[in-house]
Amino acid sequence: MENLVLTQKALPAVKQSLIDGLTIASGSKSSATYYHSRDEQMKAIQTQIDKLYKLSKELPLIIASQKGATGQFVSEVLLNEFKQTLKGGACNIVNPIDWYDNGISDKAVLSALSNLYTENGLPYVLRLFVELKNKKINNERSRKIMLGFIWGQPNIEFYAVKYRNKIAQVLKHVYGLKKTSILLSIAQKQVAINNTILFNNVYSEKEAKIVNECIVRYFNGDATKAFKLLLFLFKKDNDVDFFEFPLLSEYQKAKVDIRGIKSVPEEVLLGLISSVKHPQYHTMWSTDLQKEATKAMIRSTVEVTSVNQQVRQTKSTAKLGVEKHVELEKATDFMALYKTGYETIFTEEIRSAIVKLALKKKINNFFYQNIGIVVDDSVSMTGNKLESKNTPRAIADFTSLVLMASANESNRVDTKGFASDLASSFIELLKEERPEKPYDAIFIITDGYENAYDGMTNEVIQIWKAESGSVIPIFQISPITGAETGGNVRALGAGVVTMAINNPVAIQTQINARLLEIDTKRWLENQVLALEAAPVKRTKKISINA
Amino acid sequence: MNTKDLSEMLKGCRPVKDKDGNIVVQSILNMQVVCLTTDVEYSMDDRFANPLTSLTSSNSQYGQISFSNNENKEVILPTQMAVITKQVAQNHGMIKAGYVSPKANVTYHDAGCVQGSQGGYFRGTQEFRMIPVSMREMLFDSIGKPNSYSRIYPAIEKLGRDTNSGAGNYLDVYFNKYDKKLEQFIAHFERPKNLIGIIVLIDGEIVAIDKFPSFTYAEQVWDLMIRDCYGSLAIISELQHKTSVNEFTQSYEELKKDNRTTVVDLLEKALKKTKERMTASVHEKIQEVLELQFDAELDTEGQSTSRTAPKSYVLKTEGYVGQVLTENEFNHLVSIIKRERFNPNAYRQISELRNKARKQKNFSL
Repeated sequence: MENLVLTQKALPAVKQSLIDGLTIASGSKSSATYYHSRDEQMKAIQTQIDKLYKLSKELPLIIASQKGATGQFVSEVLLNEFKQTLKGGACNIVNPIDWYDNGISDKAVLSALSNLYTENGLPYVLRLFVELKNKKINNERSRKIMLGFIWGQPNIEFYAVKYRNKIAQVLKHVYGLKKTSILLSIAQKQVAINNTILFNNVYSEKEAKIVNECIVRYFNGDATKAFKLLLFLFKKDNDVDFFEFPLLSEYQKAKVDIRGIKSVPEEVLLGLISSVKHPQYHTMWSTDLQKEATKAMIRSTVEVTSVNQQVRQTKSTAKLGVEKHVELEKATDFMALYKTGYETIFTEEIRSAIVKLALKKKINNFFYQNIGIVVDDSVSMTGNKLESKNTPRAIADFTSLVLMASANESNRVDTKGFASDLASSFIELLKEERPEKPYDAIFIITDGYENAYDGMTNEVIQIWKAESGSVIPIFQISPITGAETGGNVRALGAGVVTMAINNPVAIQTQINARLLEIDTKRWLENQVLALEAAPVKRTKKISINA
Repeated sequence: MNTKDLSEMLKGCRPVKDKDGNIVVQSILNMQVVCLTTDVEYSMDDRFANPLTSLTSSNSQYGQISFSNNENKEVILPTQMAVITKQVAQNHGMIKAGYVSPKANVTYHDAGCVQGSQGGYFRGTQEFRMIPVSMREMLFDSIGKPNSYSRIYPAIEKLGRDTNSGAGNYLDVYFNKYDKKLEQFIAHFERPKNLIGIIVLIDGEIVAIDKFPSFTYAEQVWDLMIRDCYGSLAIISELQHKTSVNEFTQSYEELKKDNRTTVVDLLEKALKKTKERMTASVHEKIQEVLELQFDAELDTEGQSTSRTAPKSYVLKTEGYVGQVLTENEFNHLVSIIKRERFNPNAYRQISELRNKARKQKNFSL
């Protein structure tokens, strides 16, 4: 990569936008908060992305590739990127030759997409692709990236069963009606009734070209398999024998008899049996009693439910009367553990699983080793009544546990009473500080809405800093980004450094982001170099200049 | 005419306090909120239904509102509720609180239009809002006056002037302008468990007191009360560039002069002093208003005549006006507002002088 083309004149604006952008990226959610509706939150995120893009088109993608960027933020960045043409927007940071011709643009998009997939899972990616369809975005670049992503999935058989309709919807959008019809017709011809493979025998040159352009160049496997998958996805699989697909074979069995099915996801089985066309509908689903019994049978038989999902199902599993031991300690989704705790009760096992997960998620080589933490436990931290009950509280508690696991020594004080009396807790924390081991950082985990009285904590902090001469950083971590601050954190005051955290994995990124205040250009250079070196590609073809 | 003491109307209630016994005062700008609670036995949770979901509202004439209670429970209408509808209809507002028996339908003919020249009647709506508290005084004062669809317009015009919203006769214009700000305003106040009432202070003076029928009722109307009703006070304060006093800094500076202790100890002392000071001030003001005695006039328009239903009284005294819904000396809902022109300080001086005069012995040799 050549040197950055960022000018000194543009540097201050880029720097501020990066700081704001990173804050929003790691705290932005589409869900409602206690104070703001979903629409307001979404609008705030979109406005910020738009602002970043206008400043320099690389900025949103650089931020979306950071660890800890939320699924909603990454999705919106990619949606925005695909909405624009490849050459749209201005490159004010990276040399356009590097960005376009040397493939950094491609790497940046794929890194963000990979971030979305690994951090949030396939449903998020499919939701993004469906959104592209809804917004009628279907340019060459978006098409190739979507096809590369879907056909390149190593676990495509499982995904085809679990997300059949959604994938079909996306493929139909990408191929268009006419091409979808042609592809299905070719696939049906190739997969003959007796499943004899006639591959290469009935291909016309034109057909071969279409198949190659639409499937073969993206799919890691035999073309016949791809045809069968295509027929399955588009429900043209009546006479297809899926002998080389164990999961699809079991799915075919479940279409007749759902008993004893182990590898088909629960929601798929429920979808099958709830259709009046299923042969067992009248014996297993037509009354409430039958429904409950069938749900219980499926819950106890299916073996492909992820641990995280099993944790989330704890309450309903108990309601169904199914005894199923869940290995809580294998769960990787802290929110699932907390929500289960809030819905039922925080058993010793759940508590222990949370603590162990926090240990697993600890930040290695954490910059601060003796920290003080104040956790806001006021009513507003319970989140929106309808959409995000207890979410901020769970993020706050888990973040504090991760911080505690990351530092050698730590001390935590929770606010008491219903109001956000952070000032009292801050002073309590200072009182518990050992003179021989002073804190090297203080973290206040709060939504920023204090009321006893508004601004009191900042007064306490300012006086303490001035009188004690302490220069340690005080971070305000907010599990909520307020729509009124444009998706940013509602700061307690000038004496704190704010961070929005949706997941503790973003803490280090956020702290590192503070370092960019010292040398923004160097920080940007490192990020672009990291993008350049990212091990991502569009499946078979490394770079497609489209 | 009856008289009613405020202390008697609020009996059973007490301010929510922290573990040190200080009244919890929640503040923003120059506005403070004190929450009241009571013992569980005085909260009528099982008796009254949710006013925001149990009622549907319609009308067939300008200046009236009918409420249908869809529940098998009684409903107490919160003080001065408004219907701001998306239907092609004239929005309306109530000038008082009310009562609807189970599965009953009542019509209040003393309601008023709140949307200028818009025509049309609304049907079966639950689009309820609360009328801003700064309009309360004028609306309470219009109770008992001849029915007129335009009775609320002067109060909206005043609200428009006070909030720079140019509302004219259109209450929805004010809400449209400030809805987002009002939504954020909710965030500043936290509802404690077992809330039964709210006292609102501006510049350290009590301006509104509300007591609700039950804990669940208070929970149901909390957001609307904070956002729609009291929110107007914060908007007016903001427009007048009012700010909260840096009370903690003041306390710290005072203590610093006489103390030679560590910074943290001093911070702790300053915090304690700040809270005590805030508590003392609020305590004094509550004590003062508790001494108020109101003239209570029975209000019958639209109210139930059943012997088992609560009775509505309009309350008036020097400087304050309000309403109480009471039944066999048990007060379900109390709503008091300070008159805007009333200056408690001037009144305090008069009272002080009057008290001194009372203590003086008659002239004698």
